[in-house]
Amino acid sequence: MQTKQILISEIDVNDYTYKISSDIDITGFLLSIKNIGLVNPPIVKKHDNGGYIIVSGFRRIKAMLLNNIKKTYAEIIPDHFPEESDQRFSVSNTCNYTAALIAVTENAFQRPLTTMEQVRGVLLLKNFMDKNKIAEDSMSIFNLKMNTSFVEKLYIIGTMPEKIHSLMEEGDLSMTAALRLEKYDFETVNSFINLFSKIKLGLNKQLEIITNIHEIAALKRITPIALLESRGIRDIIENNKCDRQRKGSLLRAFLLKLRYPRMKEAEEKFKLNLKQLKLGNELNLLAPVNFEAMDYNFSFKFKNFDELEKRIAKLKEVACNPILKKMIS
Amino acid sequence: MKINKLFIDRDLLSCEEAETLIKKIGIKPESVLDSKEVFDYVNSSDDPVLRGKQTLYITENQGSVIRKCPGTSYYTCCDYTILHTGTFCTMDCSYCILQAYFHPPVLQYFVGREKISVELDKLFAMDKIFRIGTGEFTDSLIWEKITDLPQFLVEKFADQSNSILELKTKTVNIDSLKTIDHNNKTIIAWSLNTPSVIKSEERSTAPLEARLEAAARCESWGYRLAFHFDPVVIYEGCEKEYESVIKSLFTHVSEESILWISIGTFRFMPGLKQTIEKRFPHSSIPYGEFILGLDNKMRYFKPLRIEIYKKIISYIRLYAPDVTLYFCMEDQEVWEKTLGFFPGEEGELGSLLDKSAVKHCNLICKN
Repeated sequence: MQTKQILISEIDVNDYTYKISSDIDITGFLLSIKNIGLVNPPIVKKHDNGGYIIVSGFRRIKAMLLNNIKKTYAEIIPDHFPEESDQRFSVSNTCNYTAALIAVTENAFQRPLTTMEQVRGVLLLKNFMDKNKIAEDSMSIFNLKMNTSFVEKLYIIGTMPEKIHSLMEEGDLSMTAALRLEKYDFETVNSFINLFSKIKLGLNKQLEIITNIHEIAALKRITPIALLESRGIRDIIENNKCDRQRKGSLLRAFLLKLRYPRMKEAEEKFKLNLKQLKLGNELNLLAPVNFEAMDYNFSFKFKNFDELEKRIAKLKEVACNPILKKMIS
Repeated sequence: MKINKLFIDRDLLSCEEAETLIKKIGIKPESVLDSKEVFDYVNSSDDPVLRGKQTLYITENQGSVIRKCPGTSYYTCCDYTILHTGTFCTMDCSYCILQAYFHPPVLQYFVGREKISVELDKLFAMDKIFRIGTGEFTDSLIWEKITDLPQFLVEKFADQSNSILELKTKTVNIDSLKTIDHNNKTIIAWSLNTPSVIKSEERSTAPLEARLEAAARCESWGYRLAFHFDPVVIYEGCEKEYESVIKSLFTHVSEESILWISIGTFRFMPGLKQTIEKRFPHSSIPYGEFILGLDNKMRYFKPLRIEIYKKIISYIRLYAPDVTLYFCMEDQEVWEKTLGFFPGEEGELGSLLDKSAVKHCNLICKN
């Protein structure tokens, strides 16, 4: 590669062929370039129609444009590599392959790539390498060991609607949760997209929501869309008085009650009885796990003998409570 | 399910039992040095379970011919003895644990009557009652049309007095049993379910009516019978349907011919759920109200189990007040709340079933 000063106006800033980085706030970049100048030159490739396209350095060039900088040093990927050309590709394709590799590695060895950046990376490389080769070379390209199945998953994410990608970029949908949506048709995926754009939950809870919606719909013999558009769910996700986290919690509780009605009823009944027992903070009573075993568990803490005697007295008092007898019968 | 690939161990090519089997199947076998080739072939499929059902491997049993039923911790087991004659099944039930139990699941037919005979003789010489079945790792009668294994076993058991053979099936492959002198030492057992469960979850099995008609025929040939409501599946309206199955059962056979009826709600290793979802995408069977049981299997929430058991038991008791009923893998609370007692001591449930076997099949135990 050759370093050369070029006019920024010669760069087609709207060509995103090699863009794998996500759009983030570049205020820091703007200030850095304004005050310190460009530290690492961007990498560009000659455009077939003249001028250049960006291979790596989209943020840098954007920051320079916003700083009204007209010229920059850039590393130029040559049109062809006469001596090193890869036998698998034509001369121009060798050049594109090199550009694709650089686009990924330049980012991957500066910072860990986000999932969506990995997705764009494999989609870019897919034109030149199969999934096995990408997995095999992943350490040197992505600075990360990937197996073939993971590369395949990234491919799948790449084929999903852009709104899924946006949710993933925003951290509102995990990769695992997104993959769980792959089996659904376009309309169903859109319904889920609408749902996840209105709630905020962690990875496991996202999966739980998708699983419960799928299973409740199967049990009720309705489509997931019909369930997602049902009154109960709409009332939660369209409630403007709650923030996204609260909506997420309410929706989880609502779905769990639909999915496990008897279990939830038993839990609520136990909680209610527990309240009536008035154990306070001194005693703790646990129900059998999943109400499956027959073992209830009483526990208490004490600091001295006096406290121990008090706890035992309280335990004796509670043991005579008919509510407790009813609970464990 | 039709067999479309046949493997045989190279050193069994001249085995008479294998030759007969190959002739009846009508597929040229591929001989292999060991099981690896077979397992690789099955594993290379996108659906190894399906391929495993279409691939028969004629081999010898390398392990124990006689095994104790593994049971699981915490829940009460019936101390059954397994006679290991083969693995997997040509029928295709969504809930079948064998899909996840074998790695990979392969239809194996074990040749070697001598080994079976020697091992059984050891049991027959003991002062103990044995309830022995071949239906734990496979269906007992799937090969009935092409081998005389059932006949061999029935005759073998006819000639002793401390053990009964239970042939457990979802087929109606009983014709060859008609003329055998079974000496009342073989019981034919059917797994029963509601017609809607059979239709949606038990591919390639015999319909309920056919199973009950087959049971009636076996009864007319003097065989004792057993029935297994396992897995009981809980769904809307299931109570009425199980009631109807039970009514139909007792219009076909009489209480006196039945050694026992077992009941067990659907339970499964968590990993099976994914297999069911993949292979039976329209099945809602894994979406019941399950909890993780104390044996690390998924089970229906206990109050639901107790409710359905109470109903099924009351329906059975209407027609058969004295028939021996038991649960496969249930706990003290379930036993006490539904049957009113708990065979909690070690071997107690086994003894209960042994008594029924002694009574119905004239077994003799010196102890």
